[in-house]
Amino acid sequence: MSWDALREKHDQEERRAEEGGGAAKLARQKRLDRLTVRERIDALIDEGSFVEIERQTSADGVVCGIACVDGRSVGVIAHDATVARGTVGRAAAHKMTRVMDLAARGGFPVVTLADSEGARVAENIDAIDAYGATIRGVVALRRDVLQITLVCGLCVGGAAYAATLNDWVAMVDERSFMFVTGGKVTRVAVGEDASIEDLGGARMHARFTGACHAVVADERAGIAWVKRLLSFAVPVVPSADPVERETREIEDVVPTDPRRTYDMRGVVRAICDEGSTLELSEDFGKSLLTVLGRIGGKRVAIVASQPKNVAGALDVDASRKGAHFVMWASKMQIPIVTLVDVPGYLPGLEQERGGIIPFGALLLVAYGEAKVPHVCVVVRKCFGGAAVLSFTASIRLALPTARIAPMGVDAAMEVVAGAERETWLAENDHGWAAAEQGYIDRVITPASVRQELARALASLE
Amino acid sequence: MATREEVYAQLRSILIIDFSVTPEKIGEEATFRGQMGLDSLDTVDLIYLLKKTFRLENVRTHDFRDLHTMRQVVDFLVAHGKE
Repeated sequence: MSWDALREKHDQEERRAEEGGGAAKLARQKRLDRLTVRERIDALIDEGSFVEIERQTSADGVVCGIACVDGRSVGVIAHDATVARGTVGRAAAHKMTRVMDLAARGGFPVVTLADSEGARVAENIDAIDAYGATIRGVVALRRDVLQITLVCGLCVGGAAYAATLNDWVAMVDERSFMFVTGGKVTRVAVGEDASIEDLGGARMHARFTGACHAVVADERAGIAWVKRLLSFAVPVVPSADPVERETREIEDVVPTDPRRTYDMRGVVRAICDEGSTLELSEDFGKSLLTVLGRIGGKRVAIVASQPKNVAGALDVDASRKGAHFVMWASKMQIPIVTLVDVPGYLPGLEQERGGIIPFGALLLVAYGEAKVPHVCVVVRKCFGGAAVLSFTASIRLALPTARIAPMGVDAAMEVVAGAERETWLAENDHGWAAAEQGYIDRVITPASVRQELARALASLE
Repeated sequence: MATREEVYAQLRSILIIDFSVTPEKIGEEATFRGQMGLDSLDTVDLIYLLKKTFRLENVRTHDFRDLHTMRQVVDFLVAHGKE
């Protein structure tokens, strides 16, 4: 064969690799206002940095490679819905696991852009084996490697499990769906007639299962979210916000009257570098906030009670959410800051049946096993078993409004027989009471929270 | 404002081009999930295309829930579409 013929053959093969399922299917993606698989990758990575793996099999449902995102290596697995709806068979699984192997060796994150109907049924048992290999790969990476999935379209069966085994998952609102099986099989198997949104829409997972940690408006917003999350792999970045900045605005956020509620996000915003926060799982377990941020350019994982929701009580969902976040922060070596205003674990039949004991215990395990610096600030109440939020901290700070006790005032008055209410309150109902007994290291003012946190975290590095 | 015939033709064309439905399967009483073989994701994509094509600004996905045949969808589009 002549060089001319070889060049022509090369160009032909390149076009085939680029086009995936073909020009007509790519055009359909455009009409549906969905990005093509290559557009998704281009939107994620630094221009010209993509090194594709097994490119000649790219027309096989998934495009894989290594690239740079903001100058740092990232493994990319991107399903191509134009080829057999992004289903995974032997060829696809082979390159997916190669990316995972390279990420394990290099210790760099893996981003999956999911758009897959799951295993390629046409390949029969090979398809099961193929998906088994990818799931084993994802599980093996869980201990050390950051894994993020953006669900762009379908994410079914094995793809759904792979996504959920990742650290973080974002889903495109109204355009992406994640479920074990679709409507038809569900109808046949259990007689339920459910819409695709009810079975596995982004909002359903964000609110009820917790499997979706962010609902994004469209694919580009999702890719921006992934990049933002990846940026927290960097321990320190330059910051123009001085750590000495006073945080007196916390006085306007936190009422001194314990019966009045407030939004803890105001405190989180005050202590973090301006514009640095990224809240995760906003719609799930709403009585606990999980937020990434930076203080003086250094990353922190903030776990914060949210008094706006059931007075900040820890329910099943909040416990699961908190445990996942704390375990992840420990894996990523991100120091933990806990802002405490918790009346205890939420009581009741629904909570007991839902597993408040095992899931509450999971949060205890997460905090107890965390191997990163942990500083807490008791903002107001810190009652009952949920005091774990503060008591596992290496350094415990408290505002003057802090009240640390086995239970709330009214319940305590019932138990402590003969106590005069006013005397009891004067002795016990403020931050200094716990500090005098050695449970709090220092009572600080709202204005000094940011600088005291920065100082405490620096001392533990 | 498009006539019913124009709306029908446009929907028919979308079904053939974007969902590979063969023309003989398309008729006034043909069902999308049954005769035309669309699955749940197809349905979501079809609704997206209809909202975009017929500029259904105040229509929610949920509003299509009880529309199963060509006739029902065409009537709905004629009543709500701006194209």
